[in-house]
Amino acid sequence: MGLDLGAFLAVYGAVFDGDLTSWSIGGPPPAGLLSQVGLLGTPQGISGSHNKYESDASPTRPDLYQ
Amino acid sequence: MSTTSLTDISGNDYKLRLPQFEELYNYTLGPKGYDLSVLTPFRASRFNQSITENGYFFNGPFTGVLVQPAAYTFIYRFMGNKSEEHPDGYLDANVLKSFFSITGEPGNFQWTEGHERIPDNWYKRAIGDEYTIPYFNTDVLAAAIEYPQFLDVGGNTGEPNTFTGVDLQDLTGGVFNTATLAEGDNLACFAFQFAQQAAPDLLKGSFSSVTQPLSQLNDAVGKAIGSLTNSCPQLKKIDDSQFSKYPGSKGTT
Repeated sequence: MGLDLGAFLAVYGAVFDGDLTSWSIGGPPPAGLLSQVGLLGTPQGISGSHNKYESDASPTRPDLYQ
Repeated sequence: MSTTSLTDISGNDYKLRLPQFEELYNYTLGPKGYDLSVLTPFRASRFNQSITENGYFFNGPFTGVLVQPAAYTFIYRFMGNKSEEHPDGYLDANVLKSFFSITGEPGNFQWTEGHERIPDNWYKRAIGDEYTIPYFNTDVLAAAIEYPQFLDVGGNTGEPNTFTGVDLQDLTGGVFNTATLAEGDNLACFAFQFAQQAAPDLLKGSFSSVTQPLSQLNDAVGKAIGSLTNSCPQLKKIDDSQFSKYPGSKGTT
């Protein structure tokens, strides 16, 4: 993956689904792995990222309400 | 395509659904196996299934216009096995099955969650031939020219087969419009900047202060659109009340 694409996806995921420095490619990560950045809840990782990192009409996964 | 067990999986958007994998698997192979000549029509089929089966289907500005195509183009661009004979990669059935953790044969495929793996004797993209944002943008545009519906931002209004698009000019304060979205870098400019504009409201629920998350995101979006060939028309505000008629649009970018 190009650095430009990889960098964007990493930051986007960490902002919308993570703790600003990392994010889970599954569901919510254990609390011990999270940084102290003023999180109001547990980041949900990509599995909880519908309408942000995850979209409808995916190849092998169903829509959230399909 | 089989639509059995739909009610069993509603609310789950992350477990592989075998009928979808099998539909892809059964396509006639392209010159490079499961290449974009296969994956793009498959995307059109999945897009249509969402319209006809999911009353909450929503094709978002960022998620529909840019994330959705990535889910398809990444399969060939990354999973294809690169070689001297096929520098762009050849994606055959066994490599596809390995990356998706599928065993068995059509009709009795099995998915073993968590066992997705890079197969043996598999080679990644060559150094110097990385899949970049402009490269990805070229793939997204080619698909959208073939299937213009991919760029229809909007969704179903609560029942299957009720897809309605939004007026992009209303959504973007006149900066972007549907007619010119497939020109130049407009599509990428629109999608990246929409996510940026939607972020403050969305991130308020996740962080006690949005200053740092927004700073990181703004920097990332700036670099992403800076990598494009053309400079972007600047999106200054969005009117996401345009999405009020779509029940599947909650929290979208």
